[in-house]
Amino acid sequence: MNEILRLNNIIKTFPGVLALSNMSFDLKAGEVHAICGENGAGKSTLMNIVTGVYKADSGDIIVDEKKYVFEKPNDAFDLGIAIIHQETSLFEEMTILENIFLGHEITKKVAGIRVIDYEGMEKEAENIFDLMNLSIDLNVKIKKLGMAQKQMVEIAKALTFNSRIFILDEPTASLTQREVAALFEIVRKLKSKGVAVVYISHRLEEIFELCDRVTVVRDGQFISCKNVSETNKHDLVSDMVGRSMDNYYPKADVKIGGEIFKVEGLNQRGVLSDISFSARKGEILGFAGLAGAGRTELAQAICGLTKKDRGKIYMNGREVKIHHYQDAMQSEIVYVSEDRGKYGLIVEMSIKHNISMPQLEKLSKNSFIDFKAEQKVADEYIKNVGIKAPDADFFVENLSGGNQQKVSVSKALALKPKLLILDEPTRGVDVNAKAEIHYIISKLVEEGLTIILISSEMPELLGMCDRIIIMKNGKIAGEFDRKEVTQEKILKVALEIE
Amino acid sequence: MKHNSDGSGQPGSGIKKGLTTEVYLFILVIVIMLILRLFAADFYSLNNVMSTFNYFSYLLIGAVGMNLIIITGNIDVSAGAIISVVGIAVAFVGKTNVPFEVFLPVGMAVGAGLSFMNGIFITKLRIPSIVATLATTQLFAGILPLVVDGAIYDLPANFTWLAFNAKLFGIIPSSVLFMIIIAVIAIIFMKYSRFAKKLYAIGNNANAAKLAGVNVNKTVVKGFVIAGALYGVAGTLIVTAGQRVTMTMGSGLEMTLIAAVVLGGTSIAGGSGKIIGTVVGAFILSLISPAMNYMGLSSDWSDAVMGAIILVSVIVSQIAVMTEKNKLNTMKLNCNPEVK
Repeated sequence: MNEILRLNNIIKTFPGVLALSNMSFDLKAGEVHAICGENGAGKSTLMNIVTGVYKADSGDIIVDEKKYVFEKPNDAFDLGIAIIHQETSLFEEMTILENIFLGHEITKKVAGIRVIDYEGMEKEAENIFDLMNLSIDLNVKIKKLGMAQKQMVEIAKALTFNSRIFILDEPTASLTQREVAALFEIVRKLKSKGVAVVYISHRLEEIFELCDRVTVVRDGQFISCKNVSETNKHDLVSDMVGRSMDNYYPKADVKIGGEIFKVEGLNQRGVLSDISFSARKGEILGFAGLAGAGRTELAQAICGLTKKDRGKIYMNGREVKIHHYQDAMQSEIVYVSEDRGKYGLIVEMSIKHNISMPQLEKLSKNSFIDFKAEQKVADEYIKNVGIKAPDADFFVENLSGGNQQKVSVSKALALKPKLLILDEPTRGVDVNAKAEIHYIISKLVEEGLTIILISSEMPELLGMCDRIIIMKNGKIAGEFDRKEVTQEKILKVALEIE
Repeated sequence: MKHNSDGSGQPGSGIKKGLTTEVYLFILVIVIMLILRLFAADFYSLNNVMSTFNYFSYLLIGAVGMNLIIITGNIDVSAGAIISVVGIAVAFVGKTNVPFEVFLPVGMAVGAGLSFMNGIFITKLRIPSIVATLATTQLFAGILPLVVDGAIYDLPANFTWLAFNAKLFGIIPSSVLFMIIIAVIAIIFMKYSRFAKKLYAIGNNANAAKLAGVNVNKTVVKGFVIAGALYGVAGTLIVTAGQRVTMTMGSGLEMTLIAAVVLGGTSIAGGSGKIIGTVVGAFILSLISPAMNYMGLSSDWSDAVMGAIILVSVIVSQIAVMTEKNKLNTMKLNCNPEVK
C-alpha cells in the first residue's frame, strides 16, 4: 500500500490556546485508519487542517509524496480529500440527484445549446450507488431523508469528485445497527478500490471491527499509532488517558449536607433513558461522558428548556413541576449553558444589562426598571466574581472568553439559586480565568450552594468534584466517589469497557 | 426516469407532493371559472376574454422574473417602480418616431439596467434585499417627476402597434404570444440549465452553494438582470397599450407579482418553486379583478378578495408543510436504502 497522506510536526495555535503540537499522522491508500482521543484532544482541529479549513502554523502536509500548503478548503478538495461531517451540507429542497452533481452537472448539447444531461447523471449516480450496494430513489428531496441516508448521499457526492481520501467524522453517532452495518460495507468497498478512509470515532468496538490502524491523540499531540491487530481496548484507553494526576485545583473541604435535589426516572424519548440521581447540599457533583452522551440534554430537560416525557424532580424533598425554564428559576435551579453566545449572553448588550435580564421584575418598580438597583447588582458581581472590564456598561462582546463566562455565571448567581448547573464552564477559557472560575465555584459551595458540573476535562472533574456520574448514550453508566476515582476508571465507563 | 425504490415507507414521494399543490390551484381555477359561468356569463365575451388574457400575459411575464429572484431567497419590491421607469423610457423613445421594433429592446435594457443596480446593492454592498429594493423603489420612482412634467401624450400612431394592431388571427393580443414563448422557455430553462440549479442552491443554503463552487454574487446578479429584462418586456407591453403614458403605470404592481409567485407555491424563503405554479397563480389573480367587475361587485372589493385568496392559499400550503414536517419527525426514518 502506498502512502497517500502524511502530516509532520503540525503546530496550530489559537489566541491563548495551543491546539496542536507535535502532531504527526500518516495514511496509506486502501487503509481504514482510526483516530481516537477524548473530547478536546485535537481530532477536529487536526481534520480541519487536513481539509484546509485551518492553516497550520508550521509543519508539513504531504500528499502523494509532494508537499502542499492549503490556503482554503478547495485546495484540499482538489487533491481528493473529502470529509463527511455529521451536519451535512446538502440542499434540503433539492433532490438526491441534483445534490450529488450540484456545481459539476453532466451536460450535453441539444440543438447547439448546452443542457443538463439527466440520463447521463442518473447513469453515473446508479454506478456509484451500485458500488455502494444501495438501491435508492434519486428523485427524492433531501429533506425527506434520515441521517443515515444523508450520509450515503454525501459519500456518493464525494465519489463523483473521485475523492481518494474520505474522512468520516463520528459517522455512526446517529445510526442504528443496521445502518452502521450498511456503512461498514460501503467503507470496505471503498477500501477495495484503493480509497483511504480516516475514521474518527469514540466507539472502540467499531474501530476494532473495521479499521486497520489506530492513532491516539491527546492534548493536541500525537501519542501512538498501532496496528489494530496488535493492540486492545485497554491499551488504547491507557494511551488516551496517560497524563499525570497533579493536584491542579485547590478544593476546600466543605461540609456536605443532606440531600437537596433529586431526579427520578427522567425520560426523553430517543435521548435520555431512566435517569435517577440526587445531589447534596454543598456538593459539587460532576457529570462526565463523551460527546453525545446526553449530559447537556439532561440538564436542559431538568430545567424545562426541553420537554421530558417522564420523570419527577424534587427540591428539598418536595416535588417541583418544571415545564418551562421559569419554573426551574422559581425552584431556585439555574442553568449556565455551555454555549455562551447562543443561550447564555446577549453579546450586543452591556454587562449590566446581561446580569439584570433574568430578574427585571425584581429590579423594577411599577413597570419601570430601577436603574440604580441594576447598577448596584452589576457592580457587586463585577467585584466579587472578578470580571475584568472598565465598567458595567462595557459590551459583553468585547470581553475575553473567560470574562464572558464570568458574566454568564454572574447572571446566574444574581438569581441566588440553591442549585447551579454549570455546563462546560471553562471551555475555551484561558488558563488564568479557568483557575479564577474554579476558585469561584469553590467559594460558592462553601456558602452553601450545590453545584452540578458538566465537563469534558478530566483534571477539572477530578480536581473539583465530590462525586462523578458518568453518562453514556443517554443513560447513567457509572458513579464514583472522589476518593476512589481515576481518569482511567472514568474513561473505561464512558467507553463501556469491562 | 424514476427509479424503483424499495417501497421506502415515505409518506409520499417528491412527485406526489408537487402534484398536491398544483392540483389544489387547478381546482381553485376551475371553481372560479364555474362561479363566473354561473353568475356572470358575459364574462366570457370575446373582448373581455382577450382583455383578461392581455392582463394575464404581462402579469405572468413579470412574475417569472420575480420568481427567479424569490428562488434565490431574495425579494424585489421595486418591480413596480422599474416598470414605471420602463414605461416612461419607452414613451420618450416613442416620441422620437422610431420604428416600433425598438421599443422592446429599449424596455428590456432599461429594466435589466435598473435591476442590475438592485443586484449590486444586494451582493456587493450586502444590503438585505428587502431594504435595498425598498430604497430603490423610492429612487426609481422619484427620478421620474424630475424628468417628466405630468404625463407624456401625443404619441405617434405606431406606438400602440403592439397592443392594437399586432394580433394573432386578428383577435389574440401579441402579448399572449410573448407570454407563451417566455413561459415555455422559462419552464425548460429552469429544468435543464445549470444556472437554474445554482439559483435553487443559493436559496437553499448560500454557504453550502459557495462550498460547492457556485459564485453566489455573480449568480444572484445575473438572476436580477434576467428578471429586470422580463420586467422590461412586461412594462413595454403595458405602456404601448395607450396613447398617454403616466409616471405611475407600474405602481403597486410588485405586490401582484409577488402574490402570483407565492400563490403558485414558491416558498418566500427561497430554494424551491416551479414556474408552472406561478403560471397558475398569475392566472388566478388575473381573473379576479375583471371577475369582480362582471359580477357587479364594486372594484373596491377586488383587492380584499385577492388578499383573501392569497391568505387562504398560503395558510393551506403552510398547513401542508407543517403536517409533512410532523410526519417526518415522528416517523423514525428507517427507510434504509435496501442493501442488495
